[in-house]
Amino acid sequence: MGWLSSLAYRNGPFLLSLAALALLWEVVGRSIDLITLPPLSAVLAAFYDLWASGAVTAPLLDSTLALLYGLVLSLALGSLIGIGMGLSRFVDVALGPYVKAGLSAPMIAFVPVFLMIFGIGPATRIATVVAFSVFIVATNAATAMRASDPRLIEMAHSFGASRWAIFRDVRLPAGAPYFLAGLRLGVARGVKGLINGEVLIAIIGLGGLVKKYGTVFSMDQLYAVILLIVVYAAIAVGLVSAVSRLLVAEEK
Amino acid sequence: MTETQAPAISISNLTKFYGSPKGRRMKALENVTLTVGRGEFVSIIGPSGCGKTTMLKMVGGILGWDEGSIEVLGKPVTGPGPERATVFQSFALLPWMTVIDNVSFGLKVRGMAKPERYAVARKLLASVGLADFETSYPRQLSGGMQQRVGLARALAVSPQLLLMDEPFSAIDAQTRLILQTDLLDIWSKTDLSVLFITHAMDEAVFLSDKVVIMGARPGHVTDIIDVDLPRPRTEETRRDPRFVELTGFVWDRLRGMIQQDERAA
Amino acid sequence: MAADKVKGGAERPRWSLDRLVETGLGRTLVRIAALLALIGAWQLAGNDTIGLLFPTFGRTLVAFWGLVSDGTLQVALLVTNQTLLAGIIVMLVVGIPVGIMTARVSVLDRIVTPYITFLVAIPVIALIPVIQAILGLTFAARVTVVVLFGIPYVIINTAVAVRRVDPVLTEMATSFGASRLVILRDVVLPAAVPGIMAGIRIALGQALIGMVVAELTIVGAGIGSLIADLQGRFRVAPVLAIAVTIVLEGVLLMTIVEWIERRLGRWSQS
Repeated sequence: MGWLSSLAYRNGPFLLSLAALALLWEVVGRSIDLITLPPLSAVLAAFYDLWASGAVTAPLLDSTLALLYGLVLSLALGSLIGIGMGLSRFVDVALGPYVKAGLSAPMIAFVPVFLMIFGIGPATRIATVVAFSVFIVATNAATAMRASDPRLIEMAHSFGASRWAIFRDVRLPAGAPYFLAGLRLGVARGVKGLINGEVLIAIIGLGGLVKKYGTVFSMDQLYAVILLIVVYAAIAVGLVSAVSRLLVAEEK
Repeated sequence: MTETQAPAISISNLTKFYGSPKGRRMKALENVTLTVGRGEFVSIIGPSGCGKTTMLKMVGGILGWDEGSIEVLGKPVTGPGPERATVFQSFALLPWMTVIDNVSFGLKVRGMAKPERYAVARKLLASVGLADFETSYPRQLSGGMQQRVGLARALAVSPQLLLMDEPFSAIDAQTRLILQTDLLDIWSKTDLSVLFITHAMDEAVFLSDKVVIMGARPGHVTDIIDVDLPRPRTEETRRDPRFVELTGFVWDRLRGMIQQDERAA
Repeated sequence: MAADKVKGGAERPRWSLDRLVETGLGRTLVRIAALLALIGAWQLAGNDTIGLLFPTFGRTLVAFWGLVSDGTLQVALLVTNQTLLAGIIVMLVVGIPVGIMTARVSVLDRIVTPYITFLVAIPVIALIPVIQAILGLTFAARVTVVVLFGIPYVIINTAVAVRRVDPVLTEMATSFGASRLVILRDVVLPAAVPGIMAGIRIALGQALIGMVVAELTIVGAGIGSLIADLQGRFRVAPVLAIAVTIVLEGVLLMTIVEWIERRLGRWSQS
């Protein structure tokens, strides 16, 4: 009973407001015949239909594959750049400004360019995922390389450890949490990039469904697709943070 | 008793409970009775957890209590008041304000115009030896200097009662000795009453007219020692056999409590 | 070797390239060289024929000049930045007070925060069809997109900054008899400024994405329509020129905000 009451205390106001909002949505959706606001029940029914019909399976798979390819590319490229920056001041000075700029600048502006060059194939989506995630991976990889205690590195030097041995036994373990944080943030950004790209590309994949339902104004199906995207993003990010927690726990 | 004759602080039968996270009520203070006379310098010393800082906050009017009473200058305490000013352990300076703005903060809160409050602040900065640091920022000063600013800020509102919460505990040992004599110097030129919380025995004895020893669990007064060292106190005082004797007595009392505590733990 | 150890404690860089960047002049030279190398690589990787291929640096530069010389790009950017400006104003005027209130009123916190977390977790772009359905292809719709992209970060960071204000400082102000309002104005808000600025910086990055997204999906008279027009005529180089211009604008704005952040937060750095 204790946990129940504490749950009610912590989340009570939110759940109450959520229930009120859902009720309001349902009532307004039913009473006023607004084309832009179908009742909640209709949206949930459409969500079920969408899922059951299997119409989302292929686009979901396409999107997930693009995400995976993009993330692998980002991880490889970003780690390479980041490790270089972390180990060498020269690389840091030469490439640092671009990584910093790429981290904060609106890389989404390149999506129309990707679209024109690569067409509507998977390459555009992969490029978008990479543009969104590669810089955060690089930044965290550089931080990871600098995270290790310089006294430990000095100690390893004094025992005659090679550069590779120091990298493997000192720098990598000390930097692992930063690498994983970079990976997690990379996935979060990559998912956003993918979906941003999809909506802009608007032909295939999840975003394609949004555009399709958005333009023909079948609003209950549109909201259902949005719900699907939200769940998809949450699962992708949640999965990575769960995996990284497992890995870091094992490191200890 | 008329108001002018009332003691600076009169605490009687003060009891305070804390609600612990598990919903159990813990007694923080039990039946504390204590008087600080007009113009008197009184220190409270005791092991951590004896509730000495808690009590200072109650006298300052920023914390409530459950039973008993606190009167300041004959009036019951209901909140902070202009006749009291506090000096804090961690200095509590506003880091984005210059030294002079920090010193005049209390006057600003009371609605004094800028030229007037700066004039007051300048006088006090001179008296604590920081006349040249008006436009510095707190982070540019050493710990000892920061606490001088804290002292000047408290004095700026011309209080009758100064509440000091372990003011020198975050300051290195040598600087602390100098601050002690400087504080006595400033105090001797005023009719301020001081309630001083500390965990340093020599500091309590050196500064005070009266040292109050408190025990913990729940906080209570165990001894009140009259310090009969002559004033003004100087560096000579620290080598006075009576000073050594009194400090030794305070340590004996505290050591007993701390050892008991460690055995219980 | 032994002398090195005594001198700095840290090992001296072993690579000669690292020695190159030890001086300010060296760093400047390396940065210029890196920029030239990047442009060179771009020129080599690009294709100079007009078509749907990656254009060279030279051709992109020519396309950029073409857009600037007749004022097309300037007008489009002006229109687009109106959206950004309005969005940022709304973000600050609404976000900062809401952040302060969530930090101070616990019920409000428990209601607002889950929605903010939700807005951060989901891709806001997914809501664009909804916004478009309600507000149409209007300025208000585009501003809404910008606001939704950025405002969660303003609210969250403001709330955290207000909550993290050292309680000793508010206690001090209380002891001098300051009212709640005075404490908020003279203690809590100034203490929270660095945290709030960090939130604004993150929010600006998101708002820039929102601006581009709004332009491209809820097309108005700004760069969105310009890009749509160029896309229709299969002109890659000018689209790339526009993209680079927007990215550079983003970098410039972020640099300005970081500079303001550093100036306002100078007192907090020890």
